[in-house]
Amino acid sequence: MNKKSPAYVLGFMAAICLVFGTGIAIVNYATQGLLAKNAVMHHNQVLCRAFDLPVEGNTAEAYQQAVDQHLAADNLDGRVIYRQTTPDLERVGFIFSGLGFWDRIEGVMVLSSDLETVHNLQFLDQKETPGLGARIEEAWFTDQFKGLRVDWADPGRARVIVGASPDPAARNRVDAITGATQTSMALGRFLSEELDRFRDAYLAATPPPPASSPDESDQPPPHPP
Amino acid sequence: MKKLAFLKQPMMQRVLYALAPVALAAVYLFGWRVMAQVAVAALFAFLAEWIMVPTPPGKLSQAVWVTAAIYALSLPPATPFWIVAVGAVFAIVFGKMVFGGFGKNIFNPAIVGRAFVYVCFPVELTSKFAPAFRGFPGGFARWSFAALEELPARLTAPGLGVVDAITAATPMWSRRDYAFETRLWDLFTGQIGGLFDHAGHARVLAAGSVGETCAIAILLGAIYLLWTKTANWRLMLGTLLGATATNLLLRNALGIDLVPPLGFTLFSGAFLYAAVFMVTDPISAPRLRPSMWAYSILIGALIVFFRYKAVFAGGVGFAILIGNMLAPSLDLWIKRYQARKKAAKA
Amino acid sequence: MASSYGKILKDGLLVENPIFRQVLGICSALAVTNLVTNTLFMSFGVTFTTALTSFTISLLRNYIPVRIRMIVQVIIIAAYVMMIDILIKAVAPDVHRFIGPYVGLIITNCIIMGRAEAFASQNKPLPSLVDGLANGLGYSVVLIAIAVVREVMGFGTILGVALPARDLWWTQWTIMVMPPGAFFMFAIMTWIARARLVKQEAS
Repeated sequence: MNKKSPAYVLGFMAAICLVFGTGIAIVNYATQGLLAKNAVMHHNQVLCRAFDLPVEGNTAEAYQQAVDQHLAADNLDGRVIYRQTTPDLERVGFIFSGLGFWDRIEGVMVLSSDLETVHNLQFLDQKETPGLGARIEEAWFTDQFKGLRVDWADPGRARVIVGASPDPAARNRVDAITGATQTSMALGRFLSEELDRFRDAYLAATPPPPASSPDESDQPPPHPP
Repeated sequence: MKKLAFLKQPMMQRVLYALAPVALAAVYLFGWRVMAQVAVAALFAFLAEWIMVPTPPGKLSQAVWVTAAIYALSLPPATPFWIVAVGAVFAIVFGKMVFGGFGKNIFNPAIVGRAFVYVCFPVELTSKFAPAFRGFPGGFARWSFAALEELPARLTAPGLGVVDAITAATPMWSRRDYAFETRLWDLFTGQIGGLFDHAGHARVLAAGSVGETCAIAILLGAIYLLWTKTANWRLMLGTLLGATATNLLLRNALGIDLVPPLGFTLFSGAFLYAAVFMVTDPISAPRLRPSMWAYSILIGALIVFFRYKAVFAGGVGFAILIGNMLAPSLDLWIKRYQARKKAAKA
Repeated sequence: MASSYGKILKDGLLVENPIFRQVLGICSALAVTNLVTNTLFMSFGVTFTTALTSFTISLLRNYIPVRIRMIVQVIIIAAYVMMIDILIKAVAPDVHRFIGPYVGLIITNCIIMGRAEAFASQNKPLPSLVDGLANGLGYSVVLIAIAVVREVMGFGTILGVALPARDLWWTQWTIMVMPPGAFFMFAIMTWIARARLVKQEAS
């Protein structure tokens, strides 16, 4: 057969596409279950870290069980939130997302039920520069958020500050990452915006507890001893 | 072993003379450690050039001393010596020798070295500024501010120690972060340093890099350079014009308060130092008159713009590097344009 | 045959090293080398894909129509890379989260297509496989060397393990973390390697 004839060229092309296309399809199909399982497990792992849930073992089932047992998922204006249902603990977490330096950053932020204190912050997905912006996932950075006070009264709407602030001792401030100014600044900006949006939706959906009215939370938080 | 021989470059010697008042002022303001910095830079720049220079002709340029001095005087007063050395070697090897040595470099080697250490060691190069010494004998009797046991009386305030003073903010940063305006006269004489109050905390004001602090010394150098026709006056004037126009446009016409008043722009940071000693480098600047104007005006404008917008606070070095990059093209474009005009006439 | 296999290996690793001599695959050399771990994964992926593609193309070399051979090569390369990508994602999701963005880059690595064009399309399958392996390894050796220097200077670690007494003496070279660091390292290494090779050839 003439290798230069259009029929041969087209036929060869079709055959190659068919063979390799089938190959990819088979690999993709064979791993689909695994992929879905991995995605769920990653989500649950992050939730367990964020809420400090006790997990027995390192299996997908263990994480699933811990999440099912302690957390109740809810939908608030299209945003997924989680309420901790462990009897003596009242915490609420919400999924935030915003534009980082390269791409969308997604994570979960856990607050005390009065929304004044950050309990923890963990990232679900980010594509920042490895070694620079991607270090937001490292423990030393996320640990800074533990116990951070949210400044609901700041006139500039800076609820949390990542990096430099006029007052270095501000209690809603965490250190930025050296060499990743853009990621740090973006994070501080969209975390503050997301906190505002979350609180608006949360207060609208939750009847105010008898001890405090929603107006009161606009006041500066009382200083702890 | 290579034979040690230098090209005779009277022009480069004159630049060194022009740098002398700047160096003297730097010692007065910051102590003798400044001279040690210059010496380390000179030694390593010289060694790098000696090792790298191709054997025929095998002569070193005297420009290596100029590069080392301009580079060393553009550093903060407490730069660790090994960083001074790294930058000096980088300046000569990657700023000059890889292009073929003296006269063939696209970029001003001193700025290449300065920009490299600035990007590479941001902590050491942006948070180690110190206040300037005052009175007599000032820094002439001192090694460095960091070597002091306790703060001078005029800087004593509750809760402040020497450590706070050597990590203090420069006038530009104080203006941006703490809304504190340094007096123009202080910027002019270089006697920067003092206390100011921000949000109830006492803060120390620090001077900037060693060579850029005293405007008087830089102007003396500029007069000498212009008098002896060592530097081209168009380059200096163009930089001033570019910066002035941009500053007036941004602050006075568009009303952007983040851009400082004109006097502050011209006398703060490395602006004057760069306009006198860096922009005027004949190797990395364009050769034709029209392109010289375009080149220097562009750099002046970029400096103001970078100070206003860039992530890295000091825009001077990067503005000049961009200018360097465009310089050969500017010459080429002007030549083409002139040739076309001639052809049209003929 | 043995000596010629040896020659293919030596060519790929040293004499015709894809990075130093052919100057191919530079994009990934700049992108991934700030951590040794990333580099190891990338090296493995490129070596594996190059070998496999070279082998496949050599098998098909008598049937591939000349005029569309490049398209065919790209299809084969892309197919293998996608399979590898999916497999890593399924088997080692944590690793994938780390190097996922780089796996796609393998497709655009010019070494693979360069070897397919230069060697596999004119040689038998087994030598092509060896050639692909040798070039992949030549690429890996250089990348790992660059990565070791960059990780030590940029992070003070090797394979993520901190150097001894790091806090006492080590200072971060920020530029080594960023792509320009690879640019300078790559230039210095090519310089040294070429100077050596030129000397060897002269003697």
